[in-house]
Amino acid sequence: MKIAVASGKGGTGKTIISTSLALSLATDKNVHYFDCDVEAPNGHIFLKPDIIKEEKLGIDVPKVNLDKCDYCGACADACEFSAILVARNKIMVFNELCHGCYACQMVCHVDAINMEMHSTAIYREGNAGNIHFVEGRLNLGEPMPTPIISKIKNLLPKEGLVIIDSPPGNSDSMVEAVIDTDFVLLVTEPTPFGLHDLKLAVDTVKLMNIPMGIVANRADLGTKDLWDYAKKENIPVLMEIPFLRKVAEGYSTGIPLVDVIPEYREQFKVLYKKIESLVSEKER
Amino acid sequence: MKIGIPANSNNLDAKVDSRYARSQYIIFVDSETLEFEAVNNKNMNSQQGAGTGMSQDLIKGGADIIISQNVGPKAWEVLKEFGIKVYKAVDGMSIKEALEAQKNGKLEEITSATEEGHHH
Amino acid sequence: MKELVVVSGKGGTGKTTITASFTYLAKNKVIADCDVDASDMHLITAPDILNTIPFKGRKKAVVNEDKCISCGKCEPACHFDAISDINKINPIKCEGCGVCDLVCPVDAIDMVETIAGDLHISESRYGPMIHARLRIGEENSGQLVTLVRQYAKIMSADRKKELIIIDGPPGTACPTTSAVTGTNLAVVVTEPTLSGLHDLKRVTDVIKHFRVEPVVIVNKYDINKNMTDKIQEYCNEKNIPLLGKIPFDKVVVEAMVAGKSIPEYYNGELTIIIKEIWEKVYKLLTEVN
Repeated sequence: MKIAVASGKGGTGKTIISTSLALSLATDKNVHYFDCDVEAPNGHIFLKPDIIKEEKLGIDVPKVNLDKCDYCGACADACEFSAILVARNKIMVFNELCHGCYACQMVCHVDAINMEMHSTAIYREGNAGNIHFVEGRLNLGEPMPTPIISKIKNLLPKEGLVIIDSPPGNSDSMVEAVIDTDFVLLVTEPTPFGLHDLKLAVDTVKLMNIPMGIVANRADLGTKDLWDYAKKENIPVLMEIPFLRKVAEGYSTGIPLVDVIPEYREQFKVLYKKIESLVSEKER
Repeated sequence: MKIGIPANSNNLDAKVDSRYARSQYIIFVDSETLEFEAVNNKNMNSQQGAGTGMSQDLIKGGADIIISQNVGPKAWEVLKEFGIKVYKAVDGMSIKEALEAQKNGKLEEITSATEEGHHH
Repeated sequence: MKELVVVSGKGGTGKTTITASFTYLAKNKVIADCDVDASDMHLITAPDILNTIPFKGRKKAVVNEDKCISCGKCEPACHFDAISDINKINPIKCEGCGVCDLVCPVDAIDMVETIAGDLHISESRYGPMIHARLRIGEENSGQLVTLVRQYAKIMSADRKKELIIIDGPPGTACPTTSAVTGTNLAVVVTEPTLSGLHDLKRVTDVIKHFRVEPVVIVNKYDINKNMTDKIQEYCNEKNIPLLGKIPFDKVVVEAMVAGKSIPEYYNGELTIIIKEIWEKVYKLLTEVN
């Protein structure tokens, strides 16, 4: 089962929830944790994995063989992203604009283009107890998180329990992290900003036709509007966590919620059971 | 020679735009005859790549030199690679004034990017 | 005319809460909400939209079913897994590269223009406001941020405003750099947590790279005074002014629920602290080039 943990708004507690869920379930089963928030992956702060592998990831970009190139410009014309310039018998490639679509190679009539990997991110893999940990980390300044998230998701195991920490927001990078999962857990806070951004996240997940549930963090700071909205939309609020100063303090130094308050481990196991039954309900 | 200039309107009284790639128009003008052509700058609203796109358009449009107030680093790389010199216009200069100043050798040549790049 | 941007690195530090307070305290300004992925300023300013301008996104591939012969050539050609079931294109995954159009032997694929977002020109009790919403699932390249800023500049010239206050996006990627470049001052709102400090370092590096002056505010500082001290140390080391520290207080949510910025909501402790910070910010703005 693949569970994505997302949030419309940043800072609602997505990483606290995703890591706590992983830690709680890992006491009696193997869990895979995939940190797909590649612009700011923070899962490692709370899971503290032993890293056993580190690799470069990137996008395939065109490398032009100047001996073969006749500067016809067909590749530049075919590129929708202005990543190639051909003029005055010179050719330039702009790697940071390239999306890796291979159109240039396809149209080259003299076979002058080879696609080679241009590294934009680091992939890290390791273990924390029963948790198999995978993280993508986009290099600072690189503009495209989505291809990296896609490559990491290609490494998902076919079976087993996977928790995917998604980027916040509702852009194409969140979609890439969440798509083709079995369930989306939306973490929010019941404030006007939280609810507003949650609605955007709900609309995005609906496009992908994946069942979802809500976790209300700092559930006592805000209004009842979140619950009214959830009821109207038929989205279950699966868990509520009140604002607890010691949890906030623990978070600030990298201590997971379930280490600050071990009683919550049981609650996360219950949360998982609820998700399991919602997913099998959907399958029927 | 042909001079390429980012401009805020479509004639020679237009001001040389303060930005490089986000001007509304690109003006190509013959420095001798002052015959000119103003084209809409499609890089103004483009998704990434406005700077390099602007350089591409200037090069494809046949510019031998460029007059601009600013040039970002990626755009500058392109111009450097193609050997196209850039001369710095003063803020508020019209194209006519800039052409005159350039003819009289009064404009400084830009030898490195003046703006910060969008990508590190 | 000067431009002030408020950013955070990490999301959820209270950036928009602070920006809203600044826009209330500043008298002669245009508001630019550049957090286009999840814009929230309008929940406080309650703007009346006067004009909406569509923001063009990438083209998307669409199959013309009348022409399609189901040859199956497009599906394996797509590098983004956007085509399945021989000829079903998923618009969410389509990146608009046109490769399917290139391989199609019968020209059955059209590349269609799309609207990726909506930019609004508005008036509010806080003053004129430019804001935008990126449509869900769209690429967040920073270009819509740039457009919001362009319209804000036009508005401020039109209405002779001395200041544009930009609510920046969270993170450190292209949307943030588009919000920071060319501004006169960048206020970073951070929180005393490990992730907060980590992202503070990244965002101040980015700000400095763009030759803008960063200044820092620590929000919810009393949640972890040790971490706050670490932030102070970092700022001292890097010569970054730490303009103020705001304690955690539930009044932040109360004001938000009331649809008001903090200084509009009450005259208590947080308002006094935020006013002091604003005085410092304003003074820096008048001094900076």
